[in-house]
Amino acid sequence: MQTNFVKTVMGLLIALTALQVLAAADKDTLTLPPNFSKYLYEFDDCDACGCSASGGGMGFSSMIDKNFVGVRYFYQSYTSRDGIFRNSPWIDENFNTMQVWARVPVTKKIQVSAQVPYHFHNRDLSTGHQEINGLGDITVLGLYTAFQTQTDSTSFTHTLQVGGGVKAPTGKYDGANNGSVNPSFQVGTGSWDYILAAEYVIQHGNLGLNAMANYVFKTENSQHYQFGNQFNYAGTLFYHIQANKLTLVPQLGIAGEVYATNRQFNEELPDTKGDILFGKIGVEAGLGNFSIGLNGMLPISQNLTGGRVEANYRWSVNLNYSL
Amino acid sequence: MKFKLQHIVAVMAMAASLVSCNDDDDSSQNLEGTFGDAELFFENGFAGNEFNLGAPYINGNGETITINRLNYIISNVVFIKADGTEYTYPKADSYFIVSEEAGSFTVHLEQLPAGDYTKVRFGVGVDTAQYQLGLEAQQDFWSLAITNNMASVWANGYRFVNTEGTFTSATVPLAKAFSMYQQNTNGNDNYNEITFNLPNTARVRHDIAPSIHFKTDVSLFLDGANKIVLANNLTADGSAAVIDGGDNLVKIAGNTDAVFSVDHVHNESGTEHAD
Repeated sequence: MQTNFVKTVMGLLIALTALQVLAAADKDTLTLPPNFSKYLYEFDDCDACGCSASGGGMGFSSMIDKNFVGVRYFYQSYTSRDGIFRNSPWIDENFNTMQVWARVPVTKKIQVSAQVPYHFHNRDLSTGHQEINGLGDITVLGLYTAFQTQTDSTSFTHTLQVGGGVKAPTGKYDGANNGSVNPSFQVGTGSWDYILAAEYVIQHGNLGLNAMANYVFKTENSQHYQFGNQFNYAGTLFYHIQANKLTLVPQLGIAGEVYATNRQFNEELPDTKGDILFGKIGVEAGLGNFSIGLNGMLPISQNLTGGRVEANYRWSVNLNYSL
Repeated sequence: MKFKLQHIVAVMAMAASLVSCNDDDDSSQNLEGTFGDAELFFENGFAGNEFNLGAPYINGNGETITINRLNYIISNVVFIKADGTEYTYPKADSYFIVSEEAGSFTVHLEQLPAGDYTKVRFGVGVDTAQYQLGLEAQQDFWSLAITNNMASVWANGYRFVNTEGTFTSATVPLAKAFSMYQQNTNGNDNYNEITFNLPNTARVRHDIAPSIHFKTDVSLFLDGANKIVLANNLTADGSAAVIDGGDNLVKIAGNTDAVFSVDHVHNESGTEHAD
C-alpha cells in the first residue's frame, strides 16, 4: 500500500507536470479569451486540515490568470488555549505554507488545478516550543465549465464551473499532536478526502462578482481519526483596472468555513466542530505573463473548536506565470 | 497537439484506485486474551481555573484560601463496558496517591483486558474493608501514605484527602492555618466511590493506552452543595481551623462526587500525559 501510494502520487505529479507542459506548448492552438474575460475564473478551495488548519478559504485561484502555474506563500495566525481551565494560557500558533499551485486547461471546457503545499508550523506550548514541517496534502481538482455566456453578446457575462477532486494524504498526520490544544496542528489529515465544488462568476463591465462553494468529504485516516467534513464558501467583488500592459484587480469579499465534528474510531469528539467568517481584501497585479497577488483575511465572527481556537488573521502572497 | 480527455480519465482513475485501498479496521480484531494499559490523569483546578499550590483563591463562602498541600487517594478502579460488564483492577494494586507537591498526577494501570470501556469508577480514599485487612497486608501503600502525609499512625487510618494551607475571611483578617483531613472517623465511612460516564470510549488495546483526563474542582470540598466555613471551625485557642471529624467530614463526603469530572479521553498511542 505504501509503495503503491508513493507510486501513484508520483504518477499524479508527473501527469500534472506533463499537463502543464502540454498546455503551455499547446497554448497558441487554444482559443485564448480576450484579455478581459481572462479574469473570469476564480476558484476557492482549501487544502484544509481539519478545523482551521492549512489555509481553508485562502483561495485556489487568481483573478488575473485563468491558467497559471505559480508559487504562493500563506500565513495563518491562531491563538489556542493550552489547557482545560478557564484561565489556561493562550498560546500563539503560526501556520506557514509554501505552495506550488497550478491551473491548467485540458480541453476548452475542462481545467485541472492542483496544489502541492509544504507546511512549516510552530507554536509555543506551555511544555515548550514545537515545530512541525513537511509536505502537506496534495489536492487535484477537475473543473468543468457548465455554462458560459459569450462575452461580446451581452453586457452581463456569466460563467458556471462545477467540479470535483481528491486530496491525497501526502502530509504526515501525527496523532500525538491532537491532544488538548488545537487538533488541526498537523501538516496533513492523513486521509483521502473528496471535494465537490461549484463556482459562479458574473461580470458587468470592469466589475465582477465571484461566488463559490465547495464541500470536502473527509475520511478516516489510518490512526482512526477523521476530521469533520468541511463546507467553504466565498463571495468576492473584483474590479479591473487596465493601464497599458499593467492590469490591477482589487478585490473585496467574504469567505466562510464550516466544520463538522471530528471523529475518532467513528465516535464524535466533543467541541471539535466550528465555523468562521472572514472578510478578505486583496489585489493582483499582472504584467505580461507574470502576476503578483496579495491577500489578507480578518475574521468577522468565529467559533472554532468549542472556542478553544481563535483565528487572528491570514495573509498570502503569490507569484504566478500565466500559461 | 490535442490533449485527450482520456488522459484526464487516466489520472482520475489512478487517483480513484488509491482511494479504494482500505486500511485495516480494528473493529474486526479479536481482542480476546489481549491486554493493554490505561491511565487516569488528574488535573487540579479551583472553581474552573487552574490550581497552583501557594496561590490565593476566593471561594463562595467568602473566604480566601491558599492551599499549600493537596493530596488525595484514588482507589478501587473499575472499568465498565457499554454492556455493563466490569473489570475490577486487582484490589491489592488499586491504591494510588495524587499529589500536587510530589507532582504525581497519573494513576497508571497495567494489563487491563483489551476492550471498549464507556465508564470508569474509582473511590476517593481507602475503603473500610481494605483498612481492616491490617497493616501487614498493605505495608507498601501505608508507607507511601506516610511519605505523602496521607497517614500518621495506624489507629487513625488513612487521610483520604489532605488539604493544608492558610485562609482569611471577614472575621479572620490575618491569615490563619487551616487543615482539612477527609478520613474515616466516628463510625462514618466517608469513603466515596464515583462512577463516570466517559465522553468518548476508552479503547484499551495492546497498542493503545487510553488516557482519561480528569479535571478537579478542589473548591468544592468546602464550597460544594454543603458549605464548610473555615472561620466557624477554629480550634479552641483560635489559632487555626481544623476540619478532621464529625459532621464536617460527612458534608465533605457529600461534596466529593462533584469535585471530579472527566474532561476528555485520549485514545492515541503515545499520548500519555507526562507527570
